[in-house]
Amino acid sequence: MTNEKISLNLALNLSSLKKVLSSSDIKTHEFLIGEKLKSALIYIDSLTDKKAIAQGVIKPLSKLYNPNFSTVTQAIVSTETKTVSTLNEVYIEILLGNSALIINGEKKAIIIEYKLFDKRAVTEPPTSVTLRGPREGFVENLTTNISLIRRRIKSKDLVFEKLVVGKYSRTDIVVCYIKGISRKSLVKTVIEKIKSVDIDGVFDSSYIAKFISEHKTSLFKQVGTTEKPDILVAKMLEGRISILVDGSPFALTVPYIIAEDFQSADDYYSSNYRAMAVRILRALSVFTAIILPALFVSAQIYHLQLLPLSFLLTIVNSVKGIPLSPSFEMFFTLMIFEILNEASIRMPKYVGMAVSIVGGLVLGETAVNAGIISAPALMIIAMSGICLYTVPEMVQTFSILRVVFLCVAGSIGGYGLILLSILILAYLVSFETFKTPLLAPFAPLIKEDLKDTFYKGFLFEMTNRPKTFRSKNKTRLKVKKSTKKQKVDNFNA
Amino acid sequence: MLKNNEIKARQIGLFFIAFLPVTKIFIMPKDASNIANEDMWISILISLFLDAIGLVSAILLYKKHGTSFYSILETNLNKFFSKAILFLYFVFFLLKAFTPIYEQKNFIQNTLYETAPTAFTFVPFFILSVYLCTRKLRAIGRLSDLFWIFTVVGIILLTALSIESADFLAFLPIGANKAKILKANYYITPWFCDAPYFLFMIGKFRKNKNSTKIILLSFLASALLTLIFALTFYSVFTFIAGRELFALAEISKYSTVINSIGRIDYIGIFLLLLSGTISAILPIYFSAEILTKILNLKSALIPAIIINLIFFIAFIFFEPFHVLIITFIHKIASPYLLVLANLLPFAFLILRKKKTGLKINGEYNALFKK
Repeated sequence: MTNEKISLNLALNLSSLKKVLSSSDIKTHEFLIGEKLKSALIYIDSLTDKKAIAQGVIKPLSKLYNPNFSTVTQAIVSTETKTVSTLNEVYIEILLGNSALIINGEKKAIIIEYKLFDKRAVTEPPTSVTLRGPREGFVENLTTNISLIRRRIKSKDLVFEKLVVGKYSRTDIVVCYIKGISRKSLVKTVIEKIKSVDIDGVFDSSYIAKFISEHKTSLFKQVGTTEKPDILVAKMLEGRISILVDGSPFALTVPYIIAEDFQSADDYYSSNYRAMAVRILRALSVFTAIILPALFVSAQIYHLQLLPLSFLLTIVNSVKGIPLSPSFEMFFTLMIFEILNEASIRMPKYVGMAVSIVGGLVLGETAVNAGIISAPALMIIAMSGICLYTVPEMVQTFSILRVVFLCVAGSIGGYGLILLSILILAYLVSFETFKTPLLAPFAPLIKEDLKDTFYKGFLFEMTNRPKTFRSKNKTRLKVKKSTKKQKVDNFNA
Repeated sequence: MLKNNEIKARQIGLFFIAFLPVTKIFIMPKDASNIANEDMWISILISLFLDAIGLVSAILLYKKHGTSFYSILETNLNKFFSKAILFLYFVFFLLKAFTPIYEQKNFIQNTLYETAPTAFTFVPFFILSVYLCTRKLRAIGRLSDLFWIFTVVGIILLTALSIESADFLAFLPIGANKAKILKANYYITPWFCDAPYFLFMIGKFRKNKNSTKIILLSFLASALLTLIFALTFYSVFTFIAGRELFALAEISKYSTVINSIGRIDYIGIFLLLLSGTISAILPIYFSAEILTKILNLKSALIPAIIINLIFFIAFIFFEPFHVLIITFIHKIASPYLLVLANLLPFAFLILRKKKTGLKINGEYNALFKK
């Protein structure tokens, strides 16, 4: 596209436009302003509110007395108008869903925003259902998502910086942060990284997550995601910055630490003791999900002496006659589980249910009865599969780790598991995203930030923002000293 | 923010707690008991005391010069002598590395595996070692942040399980084997001599007013863990303690809790193996770092591969010579280790402080690169 200036001749402008925007859904409505000034309104049929155009543009302009560019601009009924002077800008605005008004004899065009397209209603996100607390979730519409955040933070310091990425998709991306809380250098780095993305199209926030990740080939997640505005806002108040992508209900947050995936919205709305217990349970579940199949295999092949005698006898009885080796049996069961999992996600809901029943109950039981796999192996994989979903954000990473651990257990045994665990930990402690350690606040140990990990501190204890994110504004809660005295006074009264 | 290769005083403290006691709980209690019987704890106490002297010397050295050990050598000695001393420490760490790897290998082969595992089982250890050697000191500091809890929980669990069968009167009469105390102390020297770890960390941590206190208290805590474990071990097995090869696996074997709910002591053993593996790699880590400095290399990868390859060949292909090497290290090389760990840092205190114009933290290699 060239930087061709808008001509004084309307016909010439329209012919230039038609050469570039030849698609059938691009409409041109020619009409007279004040019954004498020739003009044309160009818009995309499917993205424009035609009723609003008729009411807000065509009707007032047709009746305009003594029209000129200034009076025309004033007469348009719209909250969002701007003027552009090149045809290139006109093309871009039309493709973004805006309407362009070109007037004969004027070197400028008026861009009017009358977008209208179908959008999903704000509903509870399926990936983070809560028992207590807000149930609103982000949708695919960026404006709606911004409004969900703005409604929660009514501060002048809340900033949305808009960027456009995608040569063809021209997707709107908004970097959102709270001035004075988020590190300036972090905001600058993120914006620079997003600006450097040169891609045909961005259709989901995961595209951006992949581009802003510092270790591009790593198995581990480096950008946080959430579908809930209340979680996003809480993260921003801790010093993180967020990225919203038009067309995606998943907001991104950086910097990311692994500990945040072990937290859930419910933890903050329910009892602290319950939250603590649940968080420990989640950690144990993840450990079980990754290690249990591997431990079972290594115990069966290499370390039978580690098993209590009664348990050993149960296992011996159940594996008697199984033709597969312990590691292959476990691998085979795991494969079946993964296939069932994948199939039940992709299949239509009603068929998926049937597949789950057939796969989970019939196939499993038949395989055990036929003596192909043992009951303990099936139980361990089922348990591991369930445990994995206690931290849904990490399922992809952990399911791969589970297979790696299983392979190591089958070939080297328990010592291999120890070595692999150390290797992973040594890798993770050196891992930083946006100068923030992935394993913080455990390694490096930041004792003040441990208040929101397995130990869930009371809300009134969490007076400072997490040190991990190095926010300049450190205080997030001031407990008034008078509260205690007031309580005593009330009691005395 | 910390620089790339810096750690915190707290991490050094946790490093002592996480990694120093673990190598001393595999075979050392058995060997000390074998020689000094009920006075084994005195031998251990002497070794810990000597380590404390080495550590205090290193602290004083840092207080005096305020820079890394490499810089102290570079500014006070000429290039040849600095490199010669570094080479002595390189050999020191190589000798120090052999015992923990040897005992860990044997422990795994004899205790963890039902049937003797193949040599392949131990190969990943050296791969992990190469990987860790290429990590910055900051990574080791962060690993200390994680692993200290494994060591503490592991030792406490095993001790708690075995305490019911302990007979602490077995240590009486104190000093019955006076003549053998020093002999045992001499033999167990390679398990101790830990001060050089700190010596090679000075100048690489940000000191604050509590640094010295943190480091000394952490060393004390690590010494206590070692001593408590060794004392419990002897009090459980008394006069047959010298015949129980792996204290780690044997100590809580006869606990009634284990009889009723199964071998939960393996939880402790696995936790200790986690920190024990890093502990066994640490001497290789420091020797690779020193070799990198001696050869003026930018990365520790090549030295790490060379050193690990040497150990790999020694452990996989020269098994019949292992006892010979162990005997050499414990009976002949002990004085060498003692001198380098405790006497040399003390002797370096006489070096005068010189202005180097070098920055204190991190940039200690400037002279070597000239």
